[in-house]
Amino acid sequence: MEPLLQIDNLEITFGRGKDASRAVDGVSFCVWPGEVLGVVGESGSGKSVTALSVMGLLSRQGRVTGGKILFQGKDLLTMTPETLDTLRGVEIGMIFQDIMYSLNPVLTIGKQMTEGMRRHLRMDAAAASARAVELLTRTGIRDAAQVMKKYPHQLSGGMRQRVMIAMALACRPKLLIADEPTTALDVTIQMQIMQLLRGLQRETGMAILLITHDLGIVAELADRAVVMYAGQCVEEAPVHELLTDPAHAYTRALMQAVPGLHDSREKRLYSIPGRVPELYGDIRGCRFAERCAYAADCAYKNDAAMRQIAGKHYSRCDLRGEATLLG
Amino acid sequence: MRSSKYRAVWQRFCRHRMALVCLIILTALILLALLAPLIAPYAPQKPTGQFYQPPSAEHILGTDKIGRDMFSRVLYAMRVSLLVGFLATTVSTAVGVLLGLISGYFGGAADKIIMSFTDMVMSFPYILLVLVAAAIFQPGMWSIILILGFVDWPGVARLVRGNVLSLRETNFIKSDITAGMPRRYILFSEILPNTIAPVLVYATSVFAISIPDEAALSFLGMGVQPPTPSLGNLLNGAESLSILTGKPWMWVPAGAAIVLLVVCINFVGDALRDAFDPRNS
Repeated sequence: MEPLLQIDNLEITFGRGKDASRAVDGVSFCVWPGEVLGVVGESGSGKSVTALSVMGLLSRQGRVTGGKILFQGKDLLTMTPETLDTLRGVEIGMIFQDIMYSLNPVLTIGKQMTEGMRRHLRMDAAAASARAVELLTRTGIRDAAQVMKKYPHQLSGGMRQRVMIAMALACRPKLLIADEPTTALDVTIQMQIMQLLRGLQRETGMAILLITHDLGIVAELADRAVVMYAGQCVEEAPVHELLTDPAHAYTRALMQAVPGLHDSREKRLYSIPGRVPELYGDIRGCRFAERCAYAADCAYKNDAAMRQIAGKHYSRCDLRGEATLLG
Repeated sequence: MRSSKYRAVWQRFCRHRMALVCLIILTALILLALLAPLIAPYAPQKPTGQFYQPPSAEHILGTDKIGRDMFSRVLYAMRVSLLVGFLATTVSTAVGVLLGLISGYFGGAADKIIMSFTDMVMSFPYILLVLVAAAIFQPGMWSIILILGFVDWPGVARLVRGNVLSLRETNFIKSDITAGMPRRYILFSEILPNTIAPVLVYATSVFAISIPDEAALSFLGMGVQPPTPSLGNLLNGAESLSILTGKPWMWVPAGAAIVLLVVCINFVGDALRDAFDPRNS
């Protein structure tokens, strides 16, 4: 089977000359048709930039300096904008984190929803609007016909995110890129949106590339996960395996930093000491070493290449079965 | 639903009492100007009485140096001045919006060239530029519209560019790009509607400036040419000291009309700015 999306040794650099810093450094992963791949990492790990580069959305300062992004075997990076426009919105959809400015404040929901369908699916106004109502209803919006006439400021955050999802699904994409889709929402709404995404994914069989910093969302939604740190992938595994038996020191640290419902209140929540190094391009060997609790007697410190440690489980170091060390 | 948004704008507008009064005066003046052919008692360019007559029942604002009815001339002059102001504003706003959109959205070389040109136009002594242009081209109503249109656009261009720069980074523009929408659609259907409110407010101030500018040019003989009356060339009569001191009906009405128009447009523009800002609700 051919992967739907294959990111191969991707490098993204910000700035030029002396100021250049590499935000993504040799990231590789695949999204298979119909799977949900979670990409987890702290702010600054390069996960969002990776997602944006798939869509050709890097800001002016950032540019891809190496590697390939293949969608169904075709390299997105060498495509003309016109060819790219036949994929964006049709084969690949995207939803964003920010619910305040993800919809144009001066246009009605209906106008914003139907425009893409009319363009890409060559529908007439009536057909597009009928499909928009159907999609909105499917995302759990009651009175969809009424909502079509409203402006974004008249909707709640959860409603707006539902509209965004409906818009991204309008042309039945094979791949949905969701950049922190629930981060700006209340926990209860988060849950509903995740269930909605899960349901839609099962129904349509599309693949989802889920970018998040929240391991809970990955556990809920993803089939497989990639953990990113300082512009690199550090671990890749099926979600169940990743959560029950994490191999990389960073993944283990992340999991300890998730509060448990039954933790006693007196217990201080673990946090990883230090922060993501800013100029990580120059670090040799393991990039997590300076924050790592296991660094003292670590065999991987100087040779932290990605290696296969079990069937579909890859990691830069292997601490499976080690006792938990608090830093 | 659209109406509810505009109702809120109207409510905020109404909180400015002064602006409301000005809006009424402005509407009345515009109506007077528009309906001049119906209201004016005499043809504006035909001598209909003795010259230099003070106001009387026959000629309520008196007559000018060749016996034309001043009231009729003021009405027609307002018509010309408002038309010049309106069209000059339209020209400069259209030019400014277009250049601002291109400059802000495409950036790079286009942005540099357009913004340098904008700075160049802005750095010229304004009235000098207008005078030179008026001296080169045939003076008249249409050339003054184009001249004023050309010198007033840089402000609009900068305003729109700034707006576009911030809009470009919003997710709804990014999601248009991810939806594979063409640039033309993104620029004109998504970005442009978001800049309309600030541009409209700015345009009122350009309008308010173009009226005295037209008057100044016409006063200096570089603008609207007699016998067509404009508020500026009516004031031209006040150049002589004896008229200035002894025959106030020759210049007070035209001067008052300019002041009223400018003050009212400015107040209305001010209130519009507040009304369009939803943070004031």
